[in-house]
Amino acid sequence: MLLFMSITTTAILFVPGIIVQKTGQSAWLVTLFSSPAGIITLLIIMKLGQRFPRTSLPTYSEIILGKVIGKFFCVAYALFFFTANTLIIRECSEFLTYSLSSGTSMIVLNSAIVVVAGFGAFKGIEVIARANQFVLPLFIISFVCLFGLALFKADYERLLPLWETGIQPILLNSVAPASFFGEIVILLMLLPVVNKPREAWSKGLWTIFTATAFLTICALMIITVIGPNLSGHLLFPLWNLAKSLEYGNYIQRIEGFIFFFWLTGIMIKTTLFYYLTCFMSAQIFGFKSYHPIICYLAPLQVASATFLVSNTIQFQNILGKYWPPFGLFFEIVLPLFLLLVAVIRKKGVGGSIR
Amino acid sequence: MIKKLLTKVLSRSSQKIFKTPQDDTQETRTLTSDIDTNLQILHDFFHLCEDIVSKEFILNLPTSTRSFIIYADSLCDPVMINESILKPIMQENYFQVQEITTMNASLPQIILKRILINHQAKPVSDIQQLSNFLLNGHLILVIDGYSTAIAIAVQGYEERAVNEPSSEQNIRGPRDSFVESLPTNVSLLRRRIRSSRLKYQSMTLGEISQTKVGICYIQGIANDKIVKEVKVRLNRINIDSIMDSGYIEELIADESLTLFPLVQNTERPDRTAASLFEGKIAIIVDNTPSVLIVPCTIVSLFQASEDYYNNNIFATLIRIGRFFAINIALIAPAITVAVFSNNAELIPLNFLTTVAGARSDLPFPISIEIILMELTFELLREAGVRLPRTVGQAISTVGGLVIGQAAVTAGIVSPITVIVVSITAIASFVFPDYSLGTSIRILRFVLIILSSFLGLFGIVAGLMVILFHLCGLRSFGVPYLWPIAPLSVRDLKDTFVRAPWWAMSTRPSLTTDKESLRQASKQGPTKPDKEVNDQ
Repeated sequence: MLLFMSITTTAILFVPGIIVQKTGQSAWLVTLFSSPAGIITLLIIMKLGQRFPRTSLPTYSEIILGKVIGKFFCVAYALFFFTANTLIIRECSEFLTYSLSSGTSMIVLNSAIVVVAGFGAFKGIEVIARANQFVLPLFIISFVCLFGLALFKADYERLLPLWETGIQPILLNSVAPASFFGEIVILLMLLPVVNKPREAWSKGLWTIFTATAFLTICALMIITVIGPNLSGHLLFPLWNLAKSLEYGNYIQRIEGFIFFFWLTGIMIKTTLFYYLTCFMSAQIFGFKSYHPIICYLAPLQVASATFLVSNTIQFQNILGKYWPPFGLFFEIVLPLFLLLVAVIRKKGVGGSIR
Repeated sequence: MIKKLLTKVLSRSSQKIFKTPQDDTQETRTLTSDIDTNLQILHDFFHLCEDIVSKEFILNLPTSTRSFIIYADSLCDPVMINESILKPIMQENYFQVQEITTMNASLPQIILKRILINHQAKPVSDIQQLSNFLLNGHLILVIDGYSTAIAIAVQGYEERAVNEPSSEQNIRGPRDSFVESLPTNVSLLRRRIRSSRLKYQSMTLGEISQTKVGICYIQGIANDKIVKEVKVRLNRINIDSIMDSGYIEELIADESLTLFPLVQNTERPDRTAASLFEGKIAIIVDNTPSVLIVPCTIVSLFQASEDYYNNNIFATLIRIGRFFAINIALIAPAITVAVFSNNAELIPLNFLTTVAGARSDLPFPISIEIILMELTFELLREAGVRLPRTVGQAISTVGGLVIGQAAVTAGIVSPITVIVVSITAIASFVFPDYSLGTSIRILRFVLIILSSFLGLFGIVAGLMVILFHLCGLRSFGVPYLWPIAPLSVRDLKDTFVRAPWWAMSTRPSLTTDKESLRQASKQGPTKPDKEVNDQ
């Protein structure tokens, strides 16, 4: 259909800023190292897509693994999307409380996010894609402006002791952003509905490259403007970056502006994941329409986003330590496993892979 | 879900197939050859319709023949009836006519062919058809001994003259506007498109009101599928009356539950004609000066016809201004509420002190204040539209004073509120389409309320919902946000920017069918090498 993958761009942007900082001034290298994860995922998905053109994950996982395991597999994926969505909602509300709505209670914010996402999910994938297409240019323009302004404030000396920590922590830490790149796994679900599946490969690659570029620039800017020590302690360094920019008396407080586009980006991502969760579970349980599931899942989603994680520190820990391996397991290991089984059992269209 | 429920509730009453009361009494009847029976039939048909008058007279035939005319007094031109219908018929010397003596042709045929040659006249025999003609301002001539009557067009009734458009005014460009009469409206279009490819097809809608509705499109440019879809949707309409094109607009729209206009309406013929060249279809309804244009995208609602007549750079800037204006009209009050009540830190410091000082002893929170002022403004606007013109002056003076100075000096609202509300008001008058303005007005209130609860996030959430809604809308199969989403780069030349005419080489790709090229390429401005005076 359209460039779904661009959704990933919007989403990836904001979180790595949190985690990457642990590697200090070499942080920007981390994003570079993590992008292969995305490419690997994309490769696996494309191969699977070639074997099973026009069928979705639940259908072909049952073909590959048999009925029972296939179902189990899909439930696992639905749960994965659900958890991912929980985290995204939480990220969003954390950001909100951190930035502008500091007094608002988490549950209200989460419900509002879920209501909006539910509305979008109800409208279906086409609408989500179009909404994304509408927002994306604004998003990119706003960030280019931000980076452009930050350019003048940058102090490149701060980058200097390059490789100070050695290669090891960089590689280790790249696992976390890698899990975000791996989110391209949503293509697994989306590929059957993409209008021109042939272009998916090149566009997916494009997405990964631009996302990498964006992230790297982002990390670079944060380090050069704020400095590695301070930014490591900040929850949303990019927000502080925007906040710190000030030119004379005219350009001030642009973060309010950035906030808008940022938030829309996150919202669209939530909507997409919400849609996927509902769509997936509808397919697993054989419902005719995924619409009722949206209503049932909404309270669950709010509750999980609000109560599963008790505070910000814990949340940061989850994002930084526990989520990446878990996410990567679903993003790379499981699709790879699926592909391998498919190859061994010779299921799907032809054994020959171009 | 809500929609299903709503349609269920709403459509329960109309489960039965709609049927007019006349259907039972008048099956297809035709005229007889006996004049008294005919007279009786027609008298029964138009019982208690005093504006339908009939007159009996004798025709000077070899044997004097009784005949009568029947016409709607209110719809016909009496001078025309007397001078150019009755006189020739009465004075004709029928003895000289060859056919009558040889009895080869019937009398109505002769009258049609020989006497009423400069009139639009048709033979009719079916009663229903006859009454249709009669009620459309035809005169019916019935002659004894013949079961065929003659319907002669003698329409003559008061019409508003073609004036300047009242709701879409301009400085440059044609100043005529559609009026209430369908033929006049069609003529306004035909004068602009003198080609056989401009198709005009009419149909009658409204079981009782029998309103004429015409579809205009340019063959080969309009998308055949959309033309077909328009016809299908119009034919599906089964309603007793149509008073305005607004009836049709709601009946043929793709989506019922939306604030946004899915059908464009305009009273400018030049705009309509230009839309036809973009492959759109115009629906003209009798008795309505506003013509419907489908399919409609949100971008087309931002385009004023004047954009195409003015310098393109200027038009582009104006258009960008309009996009800003819609944003201001939509979110300016909401942002004010959010920033002042939740995020005062976003206001620059030196300004903050002023604002805080001004707001320090006001009774209401800013959200209430803004809603109050917006409501006042809406009231004033509504009053201004409905009031007789002579009182309008008074209202604007009082309104200006109440909204402006007095409220501030009385200490009820802050000057900031007044500024925001008035900027919003001005911005909401900028876009050319009135119905888009109404939807923006409603959404503005929704956003103010959202932002008073959730702050800036509330605005974002509200805007997201609106965006999702807009992305899901279609007008006759054309996505509402096209060409922005789904993106069509080629068609962006007429959205935010208005490309110069020599660059508008292609028509909008989604609405047009075959002929996508508008003009020959490379017609851009060229400069002669030498000045005229150079030798």
